[in-house]
This record gives sequence, structure tokens and C-alpha cells, in this order.
Amino acid sequence: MKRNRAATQSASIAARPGSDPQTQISVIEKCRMGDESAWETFFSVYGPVAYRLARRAGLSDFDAQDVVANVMRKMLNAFRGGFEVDYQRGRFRHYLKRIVRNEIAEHFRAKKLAPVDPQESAPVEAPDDSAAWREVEQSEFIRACFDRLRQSPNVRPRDLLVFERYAMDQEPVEKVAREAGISTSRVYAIKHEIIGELRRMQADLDANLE
Amino acid sequence: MVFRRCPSPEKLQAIAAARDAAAIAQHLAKCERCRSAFEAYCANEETLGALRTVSNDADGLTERQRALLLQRCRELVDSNSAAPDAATREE
Repeated sequence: MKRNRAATQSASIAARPGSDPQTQISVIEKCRMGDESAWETFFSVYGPVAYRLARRAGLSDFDAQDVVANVMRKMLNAFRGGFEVDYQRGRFRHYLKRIVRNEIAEHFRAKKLAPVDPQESAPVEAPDDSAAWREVEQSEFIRACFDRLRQSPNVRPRDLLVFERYAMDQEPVEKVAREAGISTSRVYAIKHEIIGELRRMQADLDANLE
Repeated sequence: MVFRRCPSPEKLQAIAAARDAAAIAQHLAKCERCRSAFEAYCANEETLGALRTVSNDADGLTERQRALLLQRCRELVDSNSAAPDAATREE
């Protein structure tokens, strides 16, 4: 598995709504106010979302990175220009999704204007696929929440290691239990507890990014 | 496989992980407690599947690329060179 556990620990996630009165303000509203940690949350989720959708549409790594930079630049300008946050469900995502789609389409349009390489395959149109957006977005939510969970003082390092070995890397439960000095039942319970917490965090983040 | 008694949580988890609801369908039809637990385990497996996918170089996005993307985004915020952009206006 290609995961680099240390590298992912740099991503930060805003505190869960409800755990602190100050966090009742949505991440989007905080971004508008220039809150750095909110931007970190926004980038850590939507940077990869834009990148992955661009790649799925057929753009190169280089072009996909360009899409991310342009999307983020436009979002920054939108917020600085007074993007109005209303809390109509899904409005912000609709707006962001349109910017991402337009950026991807713009890269394809630019390619068409460039000298044509007959060996190059025809460009793929940027897809209007809400299901793909939702799938990528949700998986990035989970990932962002897992990064946050890794940094949480409430989760024992041993439990995290057990979870990563058994649930993520799919090592045999008996082996993980033996080497951690716990029962197999406890390994199952750890898996259930950690995923349950991840799902709660995911739901909170989902609501907080509306 | 016929479960006359409620299976252990471990067994339920293993069946959920194997996505083999048929193995326990008869019991679940009669046992609300197991059905509820089994549904929770299945939902967990979906979450876990998504986490595995996204942790494993999803769409060609490596950890290094991810870190670079984040860094690039941070630099955008730090720089004050961003100019108003007409493309972001609502159409």
C-alpha cells in the first residue's frame, strides 16, 4: 500500500460542530472571514476532489494540478469579493462544482486550440456527473476525517495501529491480535469503534461544508 | 448456513465484510437486534471501502502530490496577488 502515514498527518480539519460554540459557523463562512484553519480544511478536501475529477475526465497530472490551482484562485477571489453565504442546502457545492467543471472544460478547449498531435487521442469532455462528484467528495471527507482522527488524543496509538493493520491493510485478525496483545474480539471492536467515529465525523464535516 | 441463535458480533462483522447477507438472511428476517447490528456493520464496510480506495493512490493522486497540492493552495492564500475574477461571478 502506498500510503505515507506521516505525510497525511499534516492535513488539519476544523473542530466538529457542536463540540465548541465557535465552530457553529460553517467552514465556508469561516473561509469568507479569512480563517486559515478553515482554508486548510477546504483545501484538504476540495483540492483533491478537483484533482481527481480532472484526472478522471482525462487530463494529465500537470493539467489536473493546474485545474486545482485555478479553482482555488477563483474561490479565493469569490470569497474576497464577498461571496454571499446563504444556508440554502447545496448552494455552495453547486457553485464550486460548476467552477471545477468549467475549469476542466477550459483545459480541453485550450488543448483543441493548440497544435494537434495526430497521435494524441481525442480529448474527453468534462463529465456532468453528480454521482462522481459525490463519490469523490465523500471519499475525501472520510480521508480528511481519518487524518484528523490520527491526530486525536482521544484515540490510543495502539488502537490506531490495530485498525490500520487489520481494517486497512487486511492482515489476519489473529496475527494482529497476537502482536498487539489483545483478543480478536477486541480487534473487531476497535474496527467498529473507529469506523463509527469516522462516520460521525464525516457527517459533521458534510454538514459543516454546506 | 442456518443461525438458530444470534451469531456473535464478530461473526456478523465477518459476514458483513464478506458482503454475504444471504448467509444470514433467514435469521435477520426474524431478529431485529441482529438486523440492526448487521446494517451498521454493512455501512461500516462501505466507509472502510471508501477509505481504502482514497488511501491507496486514488485517481493517481499520491501522498506526495497531495502534499504538494496543499502547499500550492496555501501559497495562493499567502500571496495577495489574486485579482478579482469575472469568471467566478454567478451567471
